[in-house]
Amino acid sequence: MGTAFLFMVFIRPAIQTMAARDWVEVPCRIESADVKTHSGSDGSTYSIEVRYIYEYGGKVYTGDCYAFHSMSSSSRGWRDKAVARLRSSPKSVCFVNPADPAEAVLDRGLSSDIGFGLIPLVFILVGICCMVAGVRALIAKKEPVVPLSPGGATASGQAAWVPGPDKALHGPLTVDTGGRALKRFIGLSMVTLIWNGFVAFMAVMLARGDGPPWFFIGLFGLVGLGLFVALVYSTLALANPSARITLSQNPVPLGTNLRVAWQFSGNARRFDHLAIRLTCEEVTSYRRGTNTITERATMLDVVAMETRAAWEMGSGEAAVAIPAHAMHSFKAGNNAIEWKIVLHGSIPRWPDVREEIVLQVAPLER
Amino acid sequence: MNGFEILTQDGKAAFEPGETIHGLLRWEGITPPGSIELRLFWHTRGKGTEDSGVAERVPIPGAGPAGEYRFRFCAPSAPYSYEGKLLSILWGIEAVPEHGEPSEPLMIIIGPGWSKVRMRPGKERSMSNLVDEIFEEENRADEPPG
Repeated sequence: MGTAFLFMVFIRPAIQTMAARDWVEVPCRIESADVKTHSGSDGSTYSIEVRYIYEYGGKVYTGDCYAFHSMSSSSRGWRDKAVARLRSSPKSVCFVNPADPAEAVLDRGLSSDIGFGLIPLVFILVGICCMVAGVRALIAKKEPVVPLSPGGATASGQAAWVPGPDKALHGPLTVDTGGRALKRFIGLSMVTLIWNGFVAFMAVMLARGDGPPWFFIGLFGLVGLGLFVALVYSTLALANPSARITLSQNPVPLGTNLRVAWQFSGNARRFDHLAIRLTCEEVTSYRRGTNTITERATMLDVVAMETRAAWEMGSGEAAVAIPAHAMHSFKAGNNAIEWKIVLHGSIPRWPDVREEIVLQVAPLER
Repeated sequence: MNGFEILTQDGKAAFEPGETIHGLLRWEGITPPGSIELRLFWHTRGKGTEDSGVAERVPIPGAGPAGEYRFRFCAPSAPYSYEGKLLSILWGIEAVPEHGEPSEPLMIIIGPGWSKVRMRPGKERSMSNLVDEIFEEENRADEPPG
């Protein structure tokens, strides 16, 4: 539905406007012009009803199209002004399609209402993201990453995820973090562009006397400013070195040593501090009314390696001891214990590099 | 009124992963008589919505209104019994009759060293701090009581 609305209210009028640049300007006589009111359950909307006569190629035609964007909306102000202008000067001009002279329009520009056509774009993007996430989740379900230990199934049928003893699936894990910053930047750009575009449109409406209250726009504007600041931060982060991180094995049992190797592409000498940390978090979710609340508690945060030596930052390897007396990874429907390897590079007066890899910690080997 | 009694051998309450859990189920007053299912299960407790899972089931068909049954479970390798800040994981054995309410569960511990894993929220520490803490914990465990 959103796509259809976007096409009807924005894309099609925009295409018609571009095509009408070659239409012929022809004198016309305004027979009638009025603002029509459409009453609905959500309030009234308005449209321009106009009738004009023009001559083209020796024939007389009657036109009734004011502009390509002809949907009704709650904006009455500009429509009243347009109708008043038409009534005050009955002799006007219209633009005729030379390929089909029966098609004509009085105003071949874009009206401010066309901005409403962008509103569904946000929801279309959200819908696309949800569909992509859903497809990826379906694919992930069909590709088991690790076998399940005999930990049983939850009452709801969802398997309690605990790294299993099958040695065949243990092995090194390599993660390239280069694409993550770009994905964040693209996602944030789209959201910022659409959000701030919408805010700008509302501000223009307000300036023309037809917009929502200023405090409403102000609230949206504050959010837009926050998005813009985040976008600037994300843009700067694109210039950061990207890391290729290799874990010697994943899953890794409690009480064993994990080797973490890193290799930066880009100028790693920009870091003034590099650290690798091992973290363990409890993650729990519960419902409060219609909202789902997720809480986290850090149970372990250990610096496995840190350095300020420039020659050690470009690439290296560190040993991370997985405590024997800790809890293994666990994941059920609403509760989880998550282990992570966190690579954190600090760059003075610049966004830091911070990459996380979820580590699967298995029970003690027996 | 349904009455169940679940006992483990020698009253043992803690087991290592992979260890066999021997026990006895007694029941009386089951009306109407039917089958009973013994379950070894885990569930979470704490801030989050409860999750649960059944590791092993033992059906006792045609149980009758009263009787006893010697059972045997293999303690799973995971999840360990766990006590943290937001979340705890607990193991238990319960009897579920075909008709009527399940029994009160017998709570047990399954974990390395016959104990539950306890973790407390951690501030940032280095690897050497962590090793020191582990040594301290082991020394405390070795100390005689009192």
